[in-house]
This record gives sequence, C-alpha cells and structure tokens, in this order.
Amino acid sequence: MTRSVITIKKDILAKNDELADENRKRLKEAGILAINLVSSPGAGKTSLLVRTLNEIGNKARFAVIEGDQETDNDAKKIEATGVPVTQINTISACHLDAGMMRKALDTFDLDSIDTLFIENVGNLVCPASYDLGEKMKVALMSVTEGEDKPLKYPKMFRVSSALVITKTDLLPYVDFDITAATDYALKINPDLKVFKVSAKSGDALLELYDFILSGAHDL
Amino acid sequence: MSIAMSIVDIAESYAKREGASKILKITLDLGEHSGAVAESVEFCFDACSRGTMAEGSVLEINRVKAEALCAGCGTTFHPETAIFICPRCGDIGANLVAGEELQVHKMEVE
Repeated sequence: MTRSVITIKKDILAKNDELADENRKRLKEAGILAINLVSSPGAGKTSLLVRTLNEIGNKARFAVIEGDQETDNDAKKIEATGVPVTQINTISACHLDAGMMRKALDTFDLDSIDTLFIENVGNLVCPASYDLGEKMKVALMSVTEGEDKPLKYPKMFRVSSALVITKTDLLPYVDFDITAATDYALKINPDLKVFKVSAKSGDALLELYDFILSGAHDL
Repeated sequence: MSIAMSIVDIAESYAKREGASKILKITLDLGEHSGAVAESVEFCFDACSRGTMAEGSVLEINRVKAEALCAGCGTTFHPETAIFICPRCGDIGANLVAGEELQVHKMEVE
C-alpha cells in the first residue's frame, strides 16, 4: 500500500475540553458555582475545606468531589461535616479529567447544590491543563513550601483565579518569605486574588468565606 | 501518560477513517508553555502505542516557541522567564498568543 500524509490538527485535549463544556453547561443550568482546588500534595486543601464547611456549611448548600489516587480518607473527613461528598480514585492518573467529573456529577442531586468544591489530586502540573468545567481554579500554597512555587509552576498560577496561602500560623517557624511569594504570584498573574489564611488558627478565613459566598460569583 | 494515550486514540481513529493499515509517523505541535514535556510524551508514547496501529511509528515533535502579546503596548515578544515582562514598556500583563499548542498536526500512514 502507498504511503499518504493525513492532516489532522486536532488538539490532544479536545475530547476533555468537549466534556468539560458539557459539565459547565450542566453546572450553569443548575446554578452551581464550581471551584476547582489545586495545589501540591499536603498544602492543606482538605483541612481548609473541613473548617470552611464546619463554619459556613449552613450559609449555602455545598457539595464536594474528592480526587485522590487512592483511599477515601479525605471523603470521610468531608462526610463528617455533613456535606454530600463523592470520592474519585484516579488510580494511575495524576489529575482529575472532565470524564471523571461528569461521572461524579451524576452522583449528586444538582438542584440541591449552590457551591461545589472539587479537591483535585495534589499536583501543580497536570491539573493546570485539564478543564473540568469549573467556574474557576483556586490554587493553594502552604508556607512550608518554597516561596518560588509560582515561578516553578507558572501555568497553574496563570490559570487560577485566586491563590490561598495556607498554614500562616507556621510563619514564625519557617523561612517562607510571604511578600516574595505574593509578588511572584502576582507577576505571573496580576489578576489573582490573594488570601493568606490559617485553617488551624482561623486567621483571615472570614475574608475567604466572603469570597466563596459572594465574591467568587461575580468573577 | 493520558496525553500519550490521547495521541494514540486520535491517530488510530483518523487512520481507520482513512482505511490505513499502519501508522508510520505522527507529528505533534508542542508549545513551550503547553504543560507537556516532549521527553515524557515520547517515553509514554512508546508504552501506549504497543499493540496499536501506531506501534513502531515515529513520533516527531515540533516545538513551538512561546510568543506573548503585551496588553499595555501591543508588543509581541518571546517570554524568557515565567514572568512575562514586556521588553518595551515593562508591563507584566502579557498574554500568550503562541506556545500553548498541544496538537496532533499530521501523520503518515500506509
């Protein structure tokens, strides 16, 4: 058989993006604000979520999708707050994709949700490229990490709408330069809304709650 | 890994549509800021293509240089670092206009 060349020009993530658009449509029709939480492993996504749900869980109808490679440990912590939760185990994948998100959406009664948190797999690389159909990505970064994370993983900070610097109660014990971290992040993405909080001491959480309950809806 | 799997899926579906029996070469456009690393894609492609029409095919990667457009003064420039500072006006609000490509461009079949 003869050789021939086929022009394709198809985006490798096109299938994911199509599914993400379908998810976005479903979320919009149900009036749900979906927030995709992304960070390195251990930045404190689950702890922040648990405290948030315990403190403002009665101010809106929340639900959570938990993404981890293995275990339902995080889902159990969310379940204890009384908020509906669905755990996705990605097994070999290092990120959630729009197909997994669609299946997770099927497990909820979407008409009884106002705000959906998606806790992505801890990874600052791949989740930046996979649209799930969320309204926004919120990146977390803890003060026990290097302050140059935004420079090392710029794409994640570029595609996020907000940055939450976590574990600020540990600032007296670590060498983290919070001014430099904020500066780096804002140079990567001048539109980032930056919050500096501690889920342990509760410091500055009210400002973040305001954002979740009202500000994020307007972005 | 899932990127390599998508490449094989896309290539196989187009090859079948064309009635081809074997994929000889796949050409990708990979932007400098696509979030994918050429070496990793190559490594995973070898594993993912085994047992498919793309097994043994050549994976050619066109690296696309990043190009940023300054929102302040309209200058286009190649961003040298993660922070996109306009070399003309010093503004940092530049958007990428090239360099995010992650695309199967073409392929050779028989």
